[in-house]
Amino acid sequence: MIKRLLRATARFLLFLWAVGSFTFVLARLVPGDPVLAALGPRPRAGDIRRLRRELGLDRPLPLQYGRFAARLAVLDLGESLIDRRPVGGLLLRRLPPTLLLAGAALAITLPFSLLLGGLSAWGRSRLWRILEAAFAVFGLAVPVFVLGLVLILAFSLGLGLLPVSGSGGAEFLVLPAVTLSAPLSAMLVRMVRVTLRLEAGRPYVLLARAKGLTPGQVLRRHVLKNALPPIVTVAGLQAGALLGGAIVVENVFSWPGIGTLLVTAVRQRDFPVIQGAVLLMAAAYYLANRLVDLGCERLDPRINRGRSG
Amino acid sequence: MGAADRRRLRRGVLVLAGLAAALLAGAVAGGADLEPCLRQRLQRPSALHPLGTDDLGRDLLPALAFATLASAAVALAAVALAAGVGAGAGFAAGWRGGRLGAAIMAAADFTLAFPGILLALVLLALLGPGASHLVAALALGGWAGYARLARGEVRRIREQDFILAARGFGASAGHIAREHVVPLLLPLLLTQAASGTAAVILAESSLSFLGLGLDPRLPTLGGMIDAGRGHLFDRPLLVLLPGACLALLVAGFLQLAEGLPGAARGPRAGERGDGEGGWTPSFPASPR
Repeated sequence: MIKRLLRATARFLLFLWAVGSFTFVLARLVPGDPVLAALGPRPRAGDIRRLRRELGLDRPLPLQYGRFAARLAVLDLGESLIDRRPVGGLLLRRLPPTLLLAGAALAITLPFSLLLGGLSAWGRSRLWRILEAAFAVFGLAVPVFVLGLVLILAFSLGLGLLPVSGSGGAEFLVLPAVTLSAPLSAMLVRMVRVTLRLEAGRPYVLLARAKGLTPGQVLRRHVLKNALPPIVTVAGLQAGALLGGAIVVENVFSWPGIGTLLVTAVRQRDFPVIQGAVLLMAAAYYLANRLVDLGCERLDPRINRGRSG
Repeated sequence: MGAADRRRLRRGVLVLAGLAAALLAGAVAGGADLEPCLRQRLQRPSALHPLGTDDLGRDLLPALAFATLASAAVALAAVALAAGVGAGAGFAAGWRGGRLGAAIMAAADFTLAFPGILLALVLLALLGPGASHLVAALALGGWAGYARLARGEVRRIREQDFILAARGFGASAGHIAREHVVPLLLPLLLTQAASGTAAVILAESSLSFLGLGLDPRLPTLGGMIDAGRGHLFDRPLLVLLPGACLALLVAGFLQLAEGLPGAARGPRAGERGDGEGGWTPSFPASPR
């Protein structure tokens, strides 16, 4: 167990180092100078030299990289080019809102897609199947920022029920979370339906029916138990992808998370902040995926332990 | 290919063709240009401007036509680049294996470790806007999926008996790759490319929406929606129309992808229960 944990940690650190080095190389290789970009149009020569020296960009590349790696090792991400605040602190302040948003979206997604997918697979009415099919297409086809704006139009401007944007109480969370959950729900609804239909055709269902159980009892006692692990796996794997969606959704609703920070930093060409945000999001995505892997091993004892540790 | 697949394929083609025809016909009939004219900004629909004008005074209809076309063109270019590079790399990794293969797949895994549009966003932040930058950034995020698919399929196909037979008849490796492996690989790649195009259109419009797409002076669907945000209350059409174009474009490609041959291998095969695709529950499900 300890050996596995150590190996997993080593792999995670290797990944962080790779992402950090990648952003470093990208920033140096790609045409376009972060210093010139940050200083805006027609900078003075003195300013350029000063900022270069402060950032250590006047030194040879290997030295620059050594300094970067050494600072990364102690999680020193440098400071923002715009307001000189340390990047680490900025990220820490912006992380909880993003996690809250992603968590809320996930909390909406799971019950909703189980319900709609289940009704579509087991319900008697054709209506559910039509609803499911429509949702599965449009949830994927309508971009989150369009959906977000339509929801604002309907619920904030039209009905006046919910605030347009910003953050504060729970009422601010509703629209962004619903918006962020839509593509994931669309995918999952389809998955739930397919899995339930597949399980419904298995021999044990016929046996349970022959024993005299009602369809509802079969669903609760037998089918759900077998259908849930693959559904949870897909939901978990996609949960990390919520981070990518959050970049856009946060921007629509002015949600003060990592996504808004990243986009603002991109607009201001604030490279240290971009670097930090990328590192944090990639790390979170990586950890989410690893946790899902672990969870799957727990849920389904058939998965081989030795292979994925 | 069953009837349901053909129906999906037809529906996808129909949606895309209809969208293109409507936009082009409107743009041509209007004869309007894309020049901004600040004196006629935010006009309501009229005979002169059938859909009204946007916040720069551009006629909305030709702007929509151009933006939709641009979105599709950028996405197709990015997918072609990503699929070409990805499939080539994946093919090499699956065929040769060894250190090269391991290195390629490590690079693919690394690329896949960035959620969503993050990678494209970073590259565009450094490169600045522009069509070629946009295509490169989108392809950078997309090639890994094709590499994985190609590698897996090549490895699977390579182990099959008819390859062994071809080798026994003295066929060269190049001949086997050309005549036996590639023809089996192409339909799958095509299907993945169709659904990949839908995803890339979404990514491209997201980037344009964030102000990181094409040259900001050109109309893009994402850019138009971003500009329309400020007028959401008084002129919701400025958001709804480009949004609808975008959704139709993506839905068209999604339907196309579902109807293409390779898609039948997924879990959908058993879902429809119409007797195709191999695995179908052999006795009726209980509730119905």
